[in-house]
Amino acid sequence: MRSAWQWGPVAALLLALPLAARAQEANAWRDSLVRIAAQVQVLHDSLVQGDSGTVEIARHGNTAVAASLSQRDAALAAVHVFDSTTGRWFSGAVPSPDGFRIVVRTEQRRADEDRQYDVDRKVGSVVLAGLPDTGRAVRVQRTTSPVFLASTLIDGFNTMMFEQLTPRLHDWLAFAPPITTSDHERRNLAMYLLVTGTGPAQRACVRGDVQGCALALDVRRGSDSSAGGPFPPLLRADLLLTALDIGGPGAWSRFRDTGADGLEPALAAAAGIPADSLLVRWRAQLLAMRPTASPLTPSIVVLALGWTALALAGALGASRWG
Amino acid sequence: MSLAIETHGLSYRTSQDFGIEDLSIAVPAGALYGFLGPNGCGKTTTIRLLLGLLRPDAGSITLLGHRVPDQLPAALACTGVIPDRPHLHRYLTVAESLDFHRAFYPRWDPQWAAQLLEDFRLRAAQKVAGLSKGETAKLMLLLALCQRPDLLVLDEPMDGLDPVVRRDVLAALLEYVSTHGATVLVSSHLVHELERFCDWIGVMDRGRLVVELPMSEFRNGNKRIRVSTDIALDVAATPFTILARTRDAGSTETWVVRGWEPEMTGWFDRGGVTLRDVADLDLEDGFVELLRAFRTERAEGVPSC
Amino acid sequence: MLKAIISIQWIATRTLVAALALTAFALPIISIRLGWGGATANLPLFLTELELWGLFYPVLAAVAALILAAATWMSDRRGQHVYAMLLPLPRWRYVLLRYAAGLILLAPVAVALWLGAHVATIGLDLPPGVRSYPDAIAAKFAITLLLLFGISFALASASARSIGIAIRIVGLFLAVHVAVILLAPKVNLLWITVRALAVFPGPFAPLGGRWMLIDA
Repeated sequence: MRSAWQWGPVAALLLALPLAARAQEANAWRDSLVRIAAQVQVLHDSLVQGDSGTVEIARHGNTAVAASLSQRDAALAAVHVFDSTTGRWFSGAVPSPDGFRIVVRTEQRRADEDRQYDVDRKVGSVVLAGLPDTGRAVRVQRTTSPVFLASTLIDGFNTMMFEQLTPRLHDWLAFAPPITTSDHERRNLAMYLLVTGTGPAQRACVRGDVQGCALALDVRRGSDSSAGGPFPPLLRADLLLTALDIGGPGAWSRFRDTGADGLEPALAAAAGIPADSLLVRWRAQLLAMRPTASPLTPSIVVLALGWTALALAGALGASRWG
Repeated sequence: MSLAIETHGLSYRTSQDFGIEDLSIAVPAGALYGFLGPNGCGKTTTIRLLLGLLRPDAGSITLLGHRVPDQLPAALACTGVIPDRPHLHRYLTVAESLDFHRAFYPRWDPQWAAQLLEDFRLRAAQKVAGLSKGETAKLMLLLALCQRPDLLVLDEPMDGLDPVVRRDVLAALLEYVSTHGATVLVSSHLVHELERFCDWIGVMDRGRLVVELPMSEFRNGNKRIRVSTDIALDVAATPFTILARTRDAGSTETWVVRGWEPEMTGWFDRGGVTLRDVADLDLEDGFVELLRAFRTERAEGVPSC
Repeated sequence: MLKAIISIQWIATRTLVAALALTAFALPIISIRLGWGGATANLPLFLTELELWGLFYPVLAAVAALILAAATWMSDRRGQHVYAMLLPLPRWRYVLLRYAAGLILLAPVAVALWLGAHVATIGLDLPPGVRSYPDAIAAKFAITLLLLFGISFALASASARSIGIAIRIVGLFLAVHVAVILLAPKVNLLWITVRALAVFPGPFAPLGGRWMLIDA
């Protein structure tokens, strides 16, 4: 029979276990409270300052705005743009299931208030203390422009999404796709890069050879070393955005999740069509952006003639010549 | 009598205190019409109105039977003009100026142009900008004459020219008029210049027409007479107009009269006044006296003419 | 008559026309030759540079139109238009003749640019997706010349009184602009006006757009 002293530690352990669990729970609660308190403090600071605004995206769609009315309007407009842009390209996908956070302040804060954060002044961003490791904060100073606010929020989100990709996809893209650039501007630039490509594969792509496009875009690795260098990264990003456009809801998630299988399957999964079909559509879309054969449109000709006639009528109508 | 130039009730205000007022002139076809008046009296403004360079505020203008400004191009096609200031393209040569000018006048006479070029001693290759004042005047006359106009309107054409050039210009002008029977309206403030060749005169002062009549009538009707009288004379009862009256020594007076007729000597016999002497007035004297009387009348509020 | 007017206008402006035509001929050639050396290596950069060169086309058109329009009227203006107004033809016809003569004298400038554009692009080994537009750019230059000459011609033919009125209107506009800026800083009348003039259907819209001798 075991002695009571033998059972003592066991009993103590048994007794201590719930206590330890409770202690852990209490620590977690405490940490949570600290985090919440820190956030409340930030919110409070913003409110007390009165002249500062904070746009915060904490998990997708969760918005906190504390600022003057004009700043709040700007922030709401920015969040609206953020929602529509990220919704279009990522359709509900988020950087991390554990949560993420992007904060944009619309006014410069005093230096002493910055001390509670780890401020990386070189890049102009600040990471809020106590956030999960996946969290990220971006701060922008001295702006209430909804366009700039939205752009900053979207860039932060976009960068996080880019970092989720497998190394192969990551390397292929080289940088986060330019989702804030207008389609027209992006495609126009891409069109120029496409048509001015000088390598054999690039020229073949312009002429309509899908294999040439696949090689020049580094979607497929060719055996022929004379294929020439790949197209610039912007063209690859444009191909991905075309695939996301065609693929519709869930395209980004499919791209990301199929990344391990290689580029071609990932792009095909994203677009929901075979990679070659995607390349054909992408090429046609870009070539459609080429300027018309003449920079002189009929409307401009009519306009010029109309104004010329008006000017002449003015000259003839002057009292001296009338 | 057909009229080359006719205006009725012409008015044009150039400034607040000056303008052409109710001007009616009639230049007979074929006349050499001297348009006289002191500087600034409105001669150039009137000519600019006649040529459509200005639009009248009121009144009508007819040039060679064409209404101005409605039928101005037709009128200008038969009118040679020398404006008061040189207006030619200075960067052209004399020959280029002639070529340009002839393109607008179907009646252009190239032979005569060549002849005048020689007579006037103008060099075809000379730039207009490099011409002297006399040469410019000659070129302008050449251009005006060689288009074979029915009417010549010359605004102070002799102003500032030396006597030799003046003679050349006048000779060419008279030759043209005598051979083509054209009408000439020539304005000047140099009265004696016009006396030699004008057969009609119109005198302007302060924007109004003072008088318009044939030169013969002006010469014969304007006299300087010397009279002796011991009585107080009722000048209103005279059959002529006394423009000026000055008392000489004793009972002798000198009168400048207008509307003189030879048979009026009988009036002196009846009125107790002795007519001692009747002398012609030259154009300049007549002009001066006319203006003096006109200004006196206007100052006293008496209607002129 | 047109021949006579062309003749005297040619005498007055032949040096200018020759200089402008020479510039128009040289512009496309210089723009291509200066950048083409490394173009095959970096065509997008070359096209970007060419886009900057494109700014010179409307500038040249404006300079040519302004100079020739001013030269067209300079002599008449010096003589207070008396000679022109004493010519036996309707005045509107004289203005049209002057305008037509001015246009005819602008033609060498447009043709020179067309020739220069062809000379510049002859023999270039362009990638399959890139094309040259010598005819199109010359046509755009010509229509811009036409427009700018029309406007400059009208301004140059205006009387001193009309110009005075125009200057007063511009002065009044600037005064209103300054007043509005002071009262409502966000309203920029000057910018609104400039935009209205420069953007379709404003009179200067044809000057905009791309002036690319070589393009996609």
